Amino acid sequence: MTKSTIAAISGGEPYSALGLTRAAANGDPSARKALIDRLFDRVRKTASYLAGSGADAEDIAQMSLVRILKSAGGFKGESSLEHWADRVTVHTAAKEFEKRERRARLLDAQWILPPPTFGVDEDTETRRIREKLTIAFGKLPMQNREAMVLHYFHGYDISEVAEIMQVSVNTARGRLRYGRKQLKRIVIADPLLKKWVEEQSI
Amino acid sequence: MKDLDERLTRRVAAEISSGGTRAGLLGELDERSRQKAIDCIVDLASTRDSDVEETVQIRRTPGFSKTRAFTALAAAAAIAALIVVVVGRLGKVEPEQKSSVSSGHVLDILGTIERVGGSVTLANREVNESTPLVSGALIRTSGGAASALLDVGARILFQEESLAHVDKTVGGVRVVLDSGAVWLVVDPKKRGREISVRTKAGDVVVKGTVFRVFTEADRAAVYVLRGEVELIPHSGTTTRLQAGRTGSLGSEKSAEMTASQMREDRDLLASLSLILTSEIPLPEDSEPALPETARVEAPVRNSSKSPNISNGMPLGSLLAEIRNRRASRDWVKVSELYETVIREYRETEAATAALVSLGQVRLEKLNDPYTAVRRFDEYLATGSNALKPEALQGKADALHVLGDSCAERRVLVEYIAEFPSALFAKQARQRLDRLNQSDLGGKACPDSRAAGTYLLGTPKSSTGTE
Repeated sequence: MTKSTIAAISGGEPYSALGLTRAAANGDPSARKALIDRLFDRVRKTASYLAGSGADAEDIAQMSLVRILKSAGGFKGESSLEHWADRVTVHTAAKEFEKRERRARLLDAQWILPPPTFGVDEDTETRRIREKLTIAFGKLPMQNREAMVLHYFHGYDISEVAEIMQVSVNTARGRLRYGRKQLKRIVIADPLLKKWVEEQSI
Repeated sequence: MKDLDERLTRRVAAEISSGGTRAGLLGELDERSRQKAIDCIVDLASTRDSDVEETVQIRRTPGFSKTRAFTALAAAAAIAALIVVVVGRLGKVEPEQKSSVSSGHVLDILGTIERVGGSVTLANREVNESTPLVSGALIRTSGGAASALLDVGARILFQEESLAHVDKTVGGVRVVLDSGAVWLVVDPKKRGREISVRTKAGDVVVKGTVFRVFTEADRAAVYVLRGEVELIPHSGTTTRLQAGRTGSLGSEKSAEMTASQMREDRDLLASLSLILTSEIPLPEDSEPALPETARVEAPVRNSSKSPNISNGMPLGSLLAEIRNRRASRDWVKVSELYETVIREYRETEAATAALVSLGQVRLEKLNDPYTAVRRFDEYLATGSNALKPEALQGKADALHVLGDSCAERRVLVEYIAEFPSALFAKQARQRLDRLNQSDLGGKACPDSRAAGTYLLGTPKSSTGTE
């Protein structure tokens, strides 16, 4: 392994991400493994918010990680490695869901996120509310969901959301606005969630 | 209005993410599984696109026309890897497999074939015991069943006349069942979505359980013996199926197992040491259940692979051997030795104490809470008090793993009443509070008594162990 790779894997340096991706793109086995190791949890987390906790999320996570490795040479170091990985994951999920929604329309079937896997120690009421909220979130159109995952789950500001989704700032803002409205409508329509909202004093 | 939407959305996002792990809503992987998944992804990324396309062609059977690209990716590396072995060992390659020989990937072994009855082929080759189970290779059973032990902590029993393959996924493995039936016995401590069964009608996702999936045409029937599974149809909503229940995918009609099927399956699973014969309840019109004497725990692993335990060993030697085996973490052998102590030195204090030790080993080391509960109960039935706190604590833990909250609540109440100042008492009270706060609240328990109001010293028959 080269010195730059070792430095990259050890982290901490501003150029470490770029060094790591370059070494991975050049086929350095340790760097390839280190790159996936670094992004593994992040990508799975993003995929899970986009696709729930089911096998679909695992599929998207796996496809995204494979794509990250295959396109490691395309990382320019202009943003953080995690930011770049989020972009790859969002695009991978978008493509997959586009295919799936097209197919679902053909089959006239509604696709709904499977409920998440939470710990057995949690009380049932909390778990049920989380499951219902996750399912409600999964009912949002994919584009709105992507924008909301980036903004509300990962904390990107609107210009960053626009940059990752490769749309204008106004479009990103619009997707967030419509996403919020739709989410509220879905949540309020469920008696249990409506009660939960009232209890939250939002 | 905008502020309200904004606040609501932020609250929803916080609520959803607060229940997750560092992998979001997905189950967190242990370090070994995580490293294996990373290795798998690095391998997959090395797969040439042409290999993937060829594999998609191989996999695109009419029943699985919706197979995802991901499965094809996983299978690509695995089948390519398989060929390396097939060429090396047998010198002959099936035409459909030759396409990806050139990629030369590392062999992707998911486990081992344990037992074979009748004719069983893996990638069109006859298999025998200890043949590696390779990801993506088709398994066909005819004239008998076969069982496989997976590295992720599960056993699969492929029943007679079944066609399936096992794929590696990021989180674990997926059994793709084309036809026939499989039983899965999954480590109850393996949480998350590590193991699933895919049928033409939908997916069955494991929550730590023993269950059977049978598929024919475009429907599948699922019977859960222990734990819980999720049924995820290809179209429609996800449902959960708990122990003792039968569900179906791709059809409104629920496919109950017949008495003869249950009896056959029970005997088959027990003969393979996958369950106890008493675990599968037979319908009333079937043959009577096996007598009590038949309820002998089978060893967890294939005992033929282990060195013999010499019968008639002095007690001191047996206990010394247990200490040695404990030091070397050979828990299967430790379990067998405790069984020997209990069997050959019954009525002695050592045998009584061994019941608790055995229960703990079964629960904590061999992930077998069912046997653990039974052993703790046997100890409690002796009337000995020396290890009663440990036995009650172990029983509560085992019932917690099994998800039997009613029985767990009763044991915790008994523990707190008898040992209020013990170390575990504080933890027991917290667990009891959590159970009481759940919406179950004891109302769904068999005797309909409210949570926390159970009489102390509940009869053994109502402790959920039988």
